[in-house]
Amino acid sequence: MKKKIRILLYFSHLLLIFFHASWATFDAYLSFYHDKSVDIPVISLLKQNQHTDFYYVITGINTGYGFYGIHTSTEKYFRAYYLDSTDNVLKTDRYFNLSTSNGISRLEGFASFFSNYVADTDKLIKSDTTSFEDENPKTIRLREHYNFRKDYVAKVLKWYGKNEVKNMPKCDSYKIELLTLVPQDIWQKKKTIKPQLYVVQEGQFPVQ
Amino acid sequence: MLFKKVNSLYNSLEKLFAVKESIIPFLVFYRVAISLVAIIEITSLFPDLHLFFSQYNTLIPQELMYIQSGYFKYLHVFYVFLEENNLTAVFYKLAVPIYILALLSLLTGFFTRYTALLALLLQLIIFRSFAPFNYGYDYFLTMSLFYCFVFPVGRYYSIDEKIFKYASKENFNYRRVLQIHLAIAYCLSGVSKGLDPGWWNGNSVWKAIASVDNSFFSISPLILTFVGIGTVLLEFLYPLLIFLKPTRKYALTAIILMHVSIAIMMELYAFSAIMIVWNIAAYGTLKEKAKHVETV
Repeated sequence: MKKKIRILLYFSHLLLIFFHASWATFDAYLSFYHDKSVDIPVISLLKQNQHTDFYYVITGINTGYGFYGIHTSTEKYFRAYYLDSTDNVLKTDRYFNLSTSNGISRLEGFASFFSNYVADTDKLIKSDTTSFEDENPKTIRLREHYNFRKDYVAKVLKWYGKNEVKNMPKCDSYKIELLTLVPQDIWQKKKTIKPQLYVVQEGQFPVQ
Repeated sequence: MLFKKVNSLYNSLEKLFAVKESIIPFLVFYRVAISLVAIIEITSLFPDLHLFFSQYNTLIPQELMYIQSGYFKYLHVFYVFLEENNLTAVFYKLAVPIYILALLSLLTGFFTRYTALLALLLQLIIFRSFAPFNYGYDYFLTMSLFYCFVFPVGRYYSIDEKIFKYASKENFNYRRVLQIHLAIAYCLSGVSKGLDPGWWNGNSVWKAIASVDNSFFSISPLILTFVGIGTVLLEFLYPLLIFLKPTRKYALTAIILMHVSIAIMMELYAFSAIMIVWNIAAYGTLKEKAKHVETV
């Protein structure tokens, strides 16, 4: 009996992995290429929801296995400029005191997450097409949602560099940029030309 | 009729998970390799760890790191509990040392199941506290520690074996679980890449490896296209290639080489290491009492 239960439990576990990974791939494809998301009630029962969430989290299977699939994005990173009272650059920095390749890789991973976050927030803002006076609860919820996200973006940028300015008495303000490598078509571009950079988001903050 | 069908399905499952050869080397290798990779990874992050996980010195405040993640509902309750009981400082001081101790216990097989569970919980709390800074490795480590908790990895060549003197023989093929999990992961990764036209013309490989810090941006489009198509096909066909005995060793070698290239070109050392461990554990030929690992 014990063996039967074990077999059924592991089989269910593997089925859940297959289901979740397939659904994540399908969902990512629809959302990226067709700007759609599909909600099928039966499937929603097995998806990561309030009932299944804990199992997904504790087993670590709450991840897709895309590994740069569906849509690969280019490298992203943060850059800080520490400025004096006349806006002269005192120092620039990309690593924010991180010294290990493990830590720096994680920072780049965050830059990628943050860039998607900024893009999704912009999408939400653009989806608000109603007039400013509109007090429909749905519109209010949408506005609260994107304002929270805007606030999060500003706060994250502000915190980057905040620690560093403590050690820079001449620093009057600092600017944080989120940069991305501009994607190029490898069949069109000249081999030797270095990739261009584009500022996705930036924020300048006074030292308080 | 229905009962017959269910019974026949169950019999197929029983066959699928039947033990055909000793799984002891698999259990020992998996336990030792996973705990070693986890110890090396946290040690390599140690000089920077306070910038991701600490009470006051993080890059951005700790709450901002997990507020936008799906772990907020668990971590918020946990950190509020610590705060209300004045345990926050103690927790930040002890969490990482206890995590490393749990991994060392797992490595030596000392109270293995308990230490695997402790390591799993601490790994989740520590690393998901900076969830947006997580990547594939962190999820694979969670899965690995979960398997170390549910598989009897501490029964052989361990301190537990000396203390508890286990008698029973394994009648379930735990290795098959890992084999199927890995086959699903690669196949769907292949599907995912195959749906992106960039993987068929080399553009996505360029996007993945080009950096302001390297000169990979100048690699020939022909090479990038070859690598892209090769990766899609290898990953998508992985279940088939690894299932067929004649192609198994080539598929295993190719996928290990792919991960070595990822480690070198993208500097994702821990991710590559854990994927290589999974591949060897699942499909490498692990022989009892042999000092080496070879492929068949």
